[in-house]
Amino acid sequence: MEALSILFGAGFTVAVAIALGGLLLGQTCREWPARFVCGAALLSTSVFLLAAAHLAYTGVFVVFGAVVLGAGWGRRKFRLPILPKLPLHHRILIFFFILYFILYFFSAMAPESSPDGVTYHLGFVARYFREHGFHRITWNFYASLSEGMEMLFLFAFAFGRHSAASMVHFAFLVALAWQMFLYGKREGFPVAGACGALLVFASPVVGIDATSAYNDVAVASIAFTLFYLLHEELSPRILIAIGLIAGFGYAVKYTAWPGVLYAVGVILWRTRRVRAVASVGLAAALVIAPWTARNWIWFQNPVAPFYNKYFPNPYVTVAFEESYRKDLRMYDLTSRTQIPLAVTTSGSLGGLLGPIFLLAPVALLALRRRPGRQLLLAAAVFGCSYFSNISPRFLIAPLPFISLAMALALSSVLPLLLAVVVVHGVISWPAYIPKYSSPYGWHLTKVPYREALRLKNVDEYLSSHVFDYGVEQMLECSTAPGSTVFTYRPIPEAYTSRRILVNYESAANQIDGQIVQQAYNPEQMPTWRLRFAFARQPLQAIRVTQTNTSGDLWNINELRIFDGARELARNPAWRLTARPYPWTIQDAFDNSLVTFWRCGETAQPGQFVEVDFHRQEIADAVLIEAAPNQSGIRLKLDGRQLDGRWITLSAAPVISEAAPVLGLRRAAITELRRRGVDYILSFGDEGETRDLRAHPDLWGIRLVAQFKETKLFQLP
Amino acid sequence: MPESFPPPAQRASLEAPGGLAHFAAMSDPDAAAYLVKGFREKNDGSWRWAVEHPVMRFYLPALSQAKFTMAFVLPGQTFRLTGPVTLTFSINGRVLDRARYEKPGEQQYTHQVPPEFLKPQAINIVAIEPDKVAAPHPGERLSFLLIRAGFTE
Repeated sequence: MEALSILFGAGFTVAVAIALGGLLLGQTCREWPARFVCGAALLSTSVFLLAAAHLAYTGVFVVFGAVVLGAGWGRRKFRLPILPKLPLHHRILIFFFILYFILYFFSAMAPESSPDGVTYHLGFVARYFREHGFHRITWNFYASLSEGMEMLFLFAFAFGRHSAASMVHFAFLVALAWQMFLYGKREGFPVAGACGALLVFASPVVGIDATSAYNDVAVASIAFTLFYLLHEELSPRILIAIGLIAGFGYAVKYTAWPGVLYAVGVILWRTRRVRAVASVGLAAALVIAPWTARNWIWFQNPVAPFYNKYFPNPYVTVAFEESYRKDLRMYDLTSRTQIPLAVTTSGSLGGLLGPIFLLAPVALLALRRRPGRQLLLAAAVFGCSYFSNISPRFLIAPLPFISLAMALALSSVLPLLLAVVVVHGVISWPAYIPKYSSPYGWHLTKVPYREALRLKNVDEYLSSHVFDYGVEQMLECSTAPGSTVFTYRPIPEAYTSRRILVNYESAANQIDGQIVQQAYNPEQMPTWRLRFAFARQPLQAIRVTQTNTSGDLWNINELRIFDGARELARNPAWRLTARPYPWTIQDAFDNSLVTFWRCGETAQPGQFVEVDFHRQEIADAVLIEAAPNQSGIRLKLDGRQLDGRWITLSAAPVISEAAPVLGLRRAAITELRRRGVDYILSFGDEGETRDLRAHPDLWGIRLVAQFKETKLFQLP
Repeated sequence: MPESFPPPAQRASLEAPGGLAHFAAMSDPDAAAYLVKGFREKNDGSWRWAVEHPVMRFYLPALSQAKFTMAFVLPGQTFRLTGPVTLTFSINGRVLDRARYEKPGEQQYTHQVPPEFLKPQAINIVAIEPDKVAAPHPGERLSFLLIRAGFTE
């Protein structure tokens, strides 16, 4: 029954998408892959609107889908092509396609176990379904990525849950491969088209990605459909479809943004008509706008979670974004010259394209022919953002174009082309991959037909395929519905209904994590005392300015102002501000050593914290209480005198060390509780929570559940 | 982006009310407040001479666990006169520990304190009794140089 619901969920979603695409394209394009991708753009946008209206119910999806299918039924003119009697080489190719199709079909249908699928892609989908629509999720920056694919997942999830979503993604791979073949046929090189399609279809990273609740293969399919339609006859319907698909690329994954410029550029080149360009642009905007509007309204950043320097917001700091981007640009590599081998053969960057793609430079030989130039231009367009994340997944979008160009280049020596494709088909099979890739490479391992048909225990499968699977079940059993759990490590959120705060996934979570760290880690305890002394005088305001450049994050637990031995009481008339990251500046003035303000950017000259008294205050010292893990900062103190002039009161503070305050651990827990955290997860091999495990009594927390080495502590 | 914020509601301080805390460094301007007796009055920078029967006091909040810790120096000049020294640590009149020091130089003493030795949310008295003191000059009794002492978790 579960298997049937999965198949229905995926099949219904694909059918509705194809029907929508058919309604839009009419007779201008009969190929089902183009209709599917175009309809997916419309379906995704429709689901967005339903989710925004909190109408994400199974019944609503049924009615919506039935209406679309009913409307599309009379126009169902497309048909699967009838293949003529095929020569031997075609049969060989078809053999491989069938072989991999079986592998992928059952892999997609098996319980969803991909790292990103079970944490956030489907974690959000499950939440949206539970809550029947969107709610603002500020505690996880992944929620601010465009979620065009997740909208399709949501539609399928309503019927077939997690695996139905994965199967929808797999449908994009089938559409892609078919469309590549159709393109080759249209351009007069069907064998090269089929070979190019198989190069993509059998690629290990494409296989595992397409059978997971990811979006990279969908982007490739969208990119190729866009390319395909851009070289069709340009009717008004096709122009709208081109715009929708270009926009859909952005809606599915930001990295597909060049597709919009590409579409507009090609249309302008081909038609020289502003009106045609406007049609494309408006249609693209229709699909893009919901996501940018959502992000602007909810996260103060239309392109959240990126470009936070230009769209400052309290949810993602510039410092985090910079370090995140830096990580993605190189991972663990020491040189970019290591990339080709890593992405094709070793799989050390997460997945592998297949060693055959070391031959990718032969694609340049296709430049001799017009389709080759068009393909390589498209590859450049959809590959231009690759170096922002060097994972092989980010090469999937340009891969169809490169594969076709490779096949085109080699097609003049057909046996060679076939040999290349057959070798690729053989060595990409799961059983052979471990012979040349790294042992922990991300790829499929077998045909999981028992798991797919639910003949084998799902939990058993997930336990062996999902890191930390079982923790989420512990949360379901041991915490009350609606509970909030803080963790330093992501867990399979798609399988729990609890609110999970992962340390790195938002600025607020990072503060939660830091509150724990500074309660016991001497490096991070607020023991630093920076005292500015100056001549006693009346002042209107004071400003502490950071003057150095370093990688440290300036932070202040408390800023106190003194007149002799007397600390000035914080008057309600005072106004506090900070640049950058003003949002938590009040935490430096709340008389609590547990809370703190942290500058959202690494130390740069000119950053400041200011107190405007809005009255006259007499003072002779300013004391900053902070953690010592910011040795790279340099501070000076300025004051605004009664005549409005700013003068430097002290060029540098006197720095001393205070004893750690007693009771910091309990105070930290009290603060976390105040911030809405109910539980903390602690993994056995985790340094950040080692002290909690060792001294739960000092923290005042209670062990309520344990799964293997993972402990769940309840806050009082 | 918000321009400015008013001061928030003030939280209860983790520090002890009224001055005394759980820890004192001799470099602190108010270090004398922690010294009950047995220390030279003059403050020589970041340390103080303990003489005979030194006693200190600290305010402690409610704690489930605490350690007493003390950083001090046995100077070579006095050690030559006394030889190895044994310090007896008592808290609120109950003997906590006896520690013997065989060599001169900077020392770090840390010892877990049984909860029943402590008075929560009150002043706690710590006596550090040396078994011998040096008398480099007539009438002068010197034991060790105290740098900092107090309670940690």
